[in-house]
Amino acid sequence: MDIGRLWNYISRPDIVPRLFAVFLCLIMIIEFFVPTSYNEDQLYPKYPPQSQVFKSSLAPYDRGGVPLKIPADIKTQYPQFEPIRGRITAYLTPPAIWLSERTPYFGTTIVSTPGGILDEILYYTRGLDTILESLTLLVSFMIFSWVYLHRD
Amino acid sequence: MFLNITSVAGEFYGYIPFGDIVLYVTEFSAISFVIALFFTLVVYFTKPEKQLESQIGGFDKLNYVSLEELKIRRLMAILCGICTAFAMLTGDLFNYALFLAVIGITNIGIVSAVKKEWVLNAAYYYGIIAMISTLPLFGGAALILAKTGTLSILELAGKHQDLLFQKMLYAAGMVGETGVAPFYAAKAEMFRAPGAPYILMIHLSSLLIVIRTAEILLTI
Amino acid sequence: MDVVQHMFNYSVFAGFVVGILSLIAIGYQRSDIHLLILTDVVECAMLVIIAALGTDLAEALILPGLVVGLAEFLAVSEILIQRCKLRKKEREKKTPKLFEEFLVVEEPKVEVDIEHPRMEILYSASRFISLILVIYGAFLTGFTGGAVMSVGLLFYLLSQGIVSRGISSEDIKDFWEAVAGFSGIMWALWIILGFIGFYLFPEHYVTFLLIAGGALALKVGSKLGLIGDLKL
Repeated sequence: MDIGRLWNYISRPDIVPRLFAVFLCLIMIIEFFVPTSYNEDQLYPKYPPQSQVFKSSLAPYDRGGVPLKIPADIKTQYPQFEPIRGRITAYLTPPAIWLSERTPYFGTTIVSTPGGILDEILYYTRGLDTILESLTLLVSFMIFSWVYLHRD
Repeated sequence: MFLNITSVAGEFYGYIPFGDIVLYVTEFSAISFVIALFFTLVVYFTKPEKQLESQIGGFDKLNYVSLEELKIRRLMAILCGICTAFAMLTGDLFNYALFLAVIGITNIGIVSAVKKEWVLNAAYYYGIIAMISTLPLFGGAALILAKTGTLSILELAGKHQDLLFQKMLYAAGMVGETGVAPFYAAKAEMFRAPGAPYILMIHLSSLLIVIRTAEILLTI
Repeated sequence: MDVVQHMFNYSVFAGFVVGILSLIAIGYQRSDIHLLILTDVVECAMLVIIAALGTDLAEALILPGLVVGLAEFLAVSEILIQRCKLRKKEREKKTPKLFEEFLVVEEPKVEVDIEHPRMEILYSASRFISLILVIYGAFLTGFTGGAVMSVGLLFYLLSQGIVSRGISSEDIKDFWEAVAGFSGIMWALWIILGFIGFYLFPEHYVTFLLIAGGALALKVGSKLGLIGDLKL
């Protein structure tokens, strides 16, 4: 077995993704022999499935609280750094309040935004994640449009 | 002090809170942060190199970077530098994985403006690896979150749980994203594109990311 | 929490099986375009693993994961197209025209008179439908709203291209740059006012929340609207 031939083989760019895929595959197969465990003490816990249906019009996303008055009770990592914790979760826009009084399926449409638990996480408590996420979209869009507009 | 951690990174200087994501400064991360920002400034003020390609049986060819190409590549290099700098400070596993994804895509951006077939070929295969390695990175972070109930490095540092497999997954993601040893070929081809200071940004970011990932995996 | 805990092992197992199978497929796949599509399947496996957590946090983490995958897919696929074009150009020296997908092509003359089914909606109601979609997207705000808005923009541009109301290559280029710039400005607005404001002035959080939701919707909507309307 000539080892030089092997080095030459892995130096081709089109081989690299395949090599990496196989390597990752081998690592992921280990998972079947390692017991995965689930810690019950999770951040931002959900209520049990279907427990809120027809009890609240914000069905799966009702976390309590009154808009602009009482903040919702959510469990975050560092409450001491978040002075307005739970207030965004409790907030509903006026059209959202109007709609939620009329239909019990309001929560499934995600129209409570801005406001609601997901917006609290995305804009406030983990806002830096969303900055990077939209930065990725921005950068890839720049690459895309530059390549597209300069392809002649 | 509740957020004070002992780690391989040296003395703990302080933290900058953004809600759940707390950036923290240690000896190591402060130095890396300054290096990355300094190099970003260098990239901003430097003009790109010109490459002289010698040809067999003909005149030599001068490769230079046009103004339009320079603008986008400089922007990508600066974004890459800033992201590398802040990736040194972040104290959250998922946030760090996102930083890696942004750095990967800016690396593609630095070379994507070059209209040479072999450069784009290498960039394409590197992009494929970068896309594949989002699985181990984000998946590893999610498995750590499931097992320990937190993503914060500062919290994980005090818990001492057995996270060997999750760490392996996370490291595999980093290996793909930065192109460590056996998977270097696509990234090494990208370095050969003309336009020196921008290309070196790819180098610097991967080096700093490799060290920083090692530090994170030793700390948690 | 019982149900989630019970299902966690199974869902992670399913995610890993999907991941391993698609990675094996990548391992022996020869065609470049299939490689690209299979990496998208790998990202689905990543989403399954995150979703197995079953908390609100997992729901919020799925969104960055999804967007990162989508964005990388966009850039990498464009690079693949560019590379194939360069490769083709080296063989035959034919230069493609800018925005040739948009420009109205002369229809081939057919001797027999064929009754083409005309999509009436593209001619009569394109403006109305896109307006409704944009307004609904503005009402939703955030990423969802942005996506709905972009569908509205996409529909409008698409129908205008088909009924050929004089869209030229230059017009599209100007429009493109204007909307792209607008999108970038919205991103900056969101970071400076929306995100930093939460920490500097916590008592005015409602204002910043509305700015964040609105700016993000406009940003995502304008950007995806542009991407979608290219018939690549």
